[in-house]
Amino acid sequence: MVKITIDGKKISAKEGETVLKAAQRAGIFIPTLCNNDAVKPYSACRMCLVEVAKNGRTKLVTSCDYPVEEGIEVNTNTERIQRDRKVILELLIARTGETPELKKLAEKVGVKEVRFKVRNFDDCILCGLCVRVCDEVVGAHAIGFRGRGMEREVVPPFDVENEQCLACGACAEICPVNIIDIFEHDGTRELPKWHKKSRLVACRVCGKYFATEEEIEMIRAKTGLPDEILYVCPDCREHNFTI
Amino acid sequence: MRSIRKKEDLLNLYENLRKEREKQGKFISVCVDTGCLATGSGAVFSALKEEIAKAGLNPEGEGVKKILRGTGSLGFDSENPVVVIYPEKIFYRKVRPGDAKYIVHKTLLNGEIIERLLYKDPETNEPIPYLDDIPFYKHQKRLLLANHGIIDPLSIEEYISIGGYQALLKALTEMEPPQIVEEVKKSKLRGRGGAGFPTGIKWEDAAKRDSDIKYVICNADEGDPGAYMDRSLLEGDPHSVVEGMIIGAYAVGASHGYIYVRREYPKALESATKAIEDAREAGLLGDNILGTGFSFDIEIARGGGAFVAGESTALMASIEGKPAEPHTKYIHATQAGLYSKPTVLNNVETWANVPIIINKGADWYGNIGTEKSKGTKIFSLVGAVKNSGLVEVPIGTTLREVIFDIGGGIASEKKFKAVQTGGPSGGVLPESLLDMPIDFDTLTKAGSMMGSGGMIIMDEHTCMVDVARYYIDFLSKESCGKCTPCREGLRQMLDILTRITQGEATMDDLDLLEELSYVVKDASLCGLGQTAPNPVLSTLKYFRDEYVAHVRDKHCPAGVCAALIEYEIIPEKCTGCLACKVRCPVGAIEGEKGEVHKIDPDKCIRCGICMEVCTFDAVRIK
Repeated sequence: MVKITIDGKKISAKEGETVLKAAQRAGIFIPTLCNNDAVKPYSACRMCLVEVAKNGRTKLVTSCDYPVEEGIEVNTNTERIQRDRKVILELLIARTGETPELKKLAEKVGVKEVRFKVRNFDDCILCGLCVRVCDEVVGAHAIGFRGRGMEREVVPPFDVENEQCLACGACAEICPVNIIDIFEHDGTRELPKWHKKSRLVACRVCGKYFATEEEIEMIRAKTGLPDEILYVCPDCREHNFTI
Repeated sequence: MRSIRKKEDLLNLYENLRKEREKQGKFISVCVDTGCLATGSGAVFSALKEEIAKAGLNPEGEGVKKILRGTGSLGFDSENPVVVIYPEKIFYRKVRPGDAKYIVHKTLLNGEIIERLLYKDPETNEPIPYLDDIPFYKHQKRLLLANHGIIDPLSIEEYISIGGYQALLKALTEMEPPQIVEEVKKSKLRGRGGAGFPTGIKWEDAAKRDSDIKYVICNADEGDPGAYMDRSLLEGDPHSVVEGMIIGAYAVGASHGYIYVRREYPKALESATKAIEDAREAGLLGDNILGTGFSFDIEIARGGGAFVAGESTALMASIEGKPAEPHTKYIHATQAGLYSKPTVLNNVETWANVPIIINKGADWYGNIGTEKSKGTKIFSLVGAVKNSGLVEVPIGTTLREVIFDIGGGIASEKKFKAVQTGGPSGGVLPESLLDMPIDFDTLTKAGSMMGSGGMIIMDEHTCMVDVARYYIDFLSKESCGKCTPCREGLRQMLDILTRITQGEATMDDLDLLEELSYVVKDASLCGLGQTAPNPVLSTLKYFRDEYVAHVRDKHCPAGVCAALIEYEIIPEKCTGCLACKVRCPVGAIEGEKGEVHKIDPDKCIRCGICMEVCTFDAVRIK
């Protein structure tokens, strides 16, 4: 156990965990956008900045990837942090326009007005969660960043439909601002943002669509399971098989 | 060349080459680095070669005795192409291919000095024949650039003939790794890439790590506009960098090294590649170096040209084949760097300092510089200065000495206004700070930074808002875009700055710009964003009046911002020559031949061509 202080509160943190984790377990709120337990920390949105004092020196760090150290004093809500957070959120809203998710966070961190010109460049906040979940969890590497600076955007390679994409929808699920649409109709699943259209597979037992063809093929390649199992939806499988 | 397998091999080789080199008589050296070639030194080199051959001599000479040498830059770039005749160091400037026969026949063969090719003292107009007497050189201390001019950088024999790789020999055969780390620590050498982190402490941390493999990296991804000291070092003396890296690798226990060079530096790439190949062939890289059992090799990694790739974590990502995007450094590279292994990353100039420190000792080195920062620093002195080029001075030299004693002051009749140090994300410092000694800490305190050593001089006709806008424009495009403050913050800063230069901003915008600058500095992920607001914050600090003039009075005091100026013709001076009228691209000038002309402000696009073409100084900015 590592003893640290967060906002004056003495906390026993686990060896190797991040300041954010320790704070969350202690019920201390630190705003985040690009953080999700499913993937590695990315420290890009900068919302989770905190002040860490160590050996008499204070520095600003991202709590999502700063490892706890014995005796550090963390402050999550100083004037400096409040200012930085508010401006960062203002910058994001200026980029995307006021979306419900950002509005909610803005209220929480005290943004009263956006002083920058709201330009609605893009509705994506470039937190990279979709890219990372696709890389780290799904393993499909179907989308990535293109361009740099203000030109940065998330696209599938060459911005065209690609075979790696399983249309699994993990990207849509993890997106903190809900901008990745996913539609299902007539036996197809569509993710227009990635120009992806996939045929859905119907369960051999109940007849309900339950996965895309690409997902089935990926599971087949990984597990070698026979069709009798692969083409049965999880619900029916539970009732009919013991694997 | 035969392989050097043990200590004695290198010593014998050095003895032989040194003796051979001592027999060297007069020789001509021509700078053939990228900057010099751009001014036509290649043609001068060819012409000299031809003339020497015509005179019945072999320009190549024998071994290390050459009559003509293509060398690294001598630094005085505003006088290029430069030719120097050794051993007297007769300095010829702005040499053209046609001068070759005179240089060969008069100076090389007969010892005569050609006066018309000499540099003239700007004050007395007296010609100065010898390099060491020229003010540009007199006030410098050239340690790192010492070999520029006297060796062919592509020849390992030449490097060895003047004592090259003797520091390596000393380090590997007389010193233990901890001793080397201690020596570098004692020397107080600080990283020349910009941040000024103590090199010895970095090495010490890497040395104590237990790992199956460790790396050393040379950062040659120099990307600051106007800065070229690293390119010059790699082109002019690549073996000094390689030697420094081998010593560093031995000290920290690394077995593999990379030199990360940007692809836009083809000559630096060529000379670094050649140096590595030659060192390997000689036995100074590879297995069992000098028979000591220590093995180490270097390979080249080529950068794609992103400015942010010079940031250490982005650079390592790039070597690993990933996009050059930085990540946080809470775990230091010395613990988990390249491929998550302990890594020492130093800049070209830092590595080049290492052989000097080992050769001469930390005590000797400690005599140069300030209390906290030792040694020399190379600056690229450019902009509105008279003598531009690469300048090497002890750390702690004042800005005034560099800009006025070495740089000769402002090139035109205009007055000095400001100097920007540290590249695009350095600060802009005013005249009142000219007597400040240049070191890492003083510059940072003043709101600028050492950076890699860019020094851009500005005269009074430079608009500080326009300058700040220019750099933020550059940096916003070079931001990788990963973190919010840098990507979105710089975009908004650029927006506000643009509105200021167009006279569309309010005083509230000024406050917002300042607040945003602090947040970008505070909250950005890497060094790029953390330093990017420097040009804005420093100009706001030292030249706030100019911002206010733009915002409140809709006036650009320097007469630069197109939207805020108006050109007019002075009737008393205008002769009605039609020159401006003919050249005006939008037909904004009225008046017949012989009549006083008039500019229509509504049509005028403020391009300034009328002012440029008027030979009677009859056009002015209102």
